[in-house]
Amino acid sequence: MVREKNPTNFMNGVPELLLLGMLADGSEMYGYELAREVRDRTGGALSMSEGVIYPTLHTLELDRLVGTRRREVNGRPRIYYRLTARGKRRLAAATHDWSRVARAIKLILGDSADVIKPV
Amino acid sequence: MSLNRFDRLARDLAAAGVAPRRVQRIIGELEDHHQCLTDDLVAEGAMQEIAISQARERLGSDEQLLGGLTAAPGLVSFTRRFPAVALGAVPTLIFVMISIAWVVPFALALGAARDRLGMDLEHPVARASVWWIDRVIDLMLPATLAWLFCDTARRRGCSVVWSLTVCTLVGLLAATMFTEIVLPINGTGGLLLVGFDPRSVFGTHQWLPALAPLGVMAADFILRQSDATTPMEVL
Repeated sequence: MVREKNPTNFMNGVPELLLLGMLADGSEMYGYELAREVRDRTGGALSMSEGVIYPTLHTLELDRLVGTRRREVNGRPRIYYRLTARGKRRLAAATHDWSRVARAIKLILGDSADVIKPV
Repeated sequence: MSLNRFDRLARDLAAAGVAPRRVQRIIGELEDHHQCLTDDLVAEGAMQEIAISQARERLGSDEQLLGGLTAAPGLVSFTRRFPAVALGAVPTLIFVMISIAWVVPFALALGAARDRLGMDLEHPVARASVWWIDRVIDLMLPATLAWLFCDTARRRGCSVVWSLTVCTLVGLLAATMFTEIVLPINGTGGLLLVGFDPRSVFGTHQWLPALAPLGVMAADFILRQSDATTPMEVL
């Protein structure tokens, strides 16, 4: 069952949303790859520290939102993560919540949001 | 390159109550992450030794990693989150179940020996065998259970109070719980009696099984003192 999240807690769910979003196309990725992809796809605007990425991934796994597969790469074990059906439903709900929040912020900031340059 | 790069973090995670398998996996992932970072830095032109050191810095300090990992809901083991259940209710239930479970097949076997083989249950050899099997199990069960659950408490980083709780509970159960088989010598059928009798602690043979967990407690105390990562503080 997809849990309804209070949009006021949306900042708490950002790492979860980003990681689920990275796996949305059905690909399997490992921790380092996910961290690098978040940084690269956002042009360096967002980055996830290892102190955040692994606890989040393990929590997502415990909630059965992602599945894992262990592979040997260059003689060392590597854990690959993939989105589960339950994870897809959670991603859809989280995306919906995030879009609502983004629209609401846009209403407050109005046109200035387009003008303000990132620092 | 040091293979013990995350040893301290692994010990700290275990002491914080993260399950051993989870600790092993997290450390494996961090080792892999560190190697990937090192490889990227070397590919960018950094010298190997400098790349290793920079990669470790980028990963963050042990304290930062530990803080993030132990703050995640669900990563801390069931035993650490619910010690009263894992180290109180569960050993009690297991003790009662095993105490009953071993007696049933034993009683059935004795009944079958009497009915089908015509075995004389009053024969001195038969009586001595039953007495010794009973005594050995009476002693082994509390000692083994106390040891298993004390070991779990120690490995999951639960305080010494929980080891003491397990040993006291198991000792009290060993002292007061009785399971008796009543088999008529010449008739058929039989009776299995299970119950708790606080007076039986003063009986002739109940004190030894009850004291066995205390020996386990002493061993646990010594092991905790030799392992600096296990909390000795009371609660």
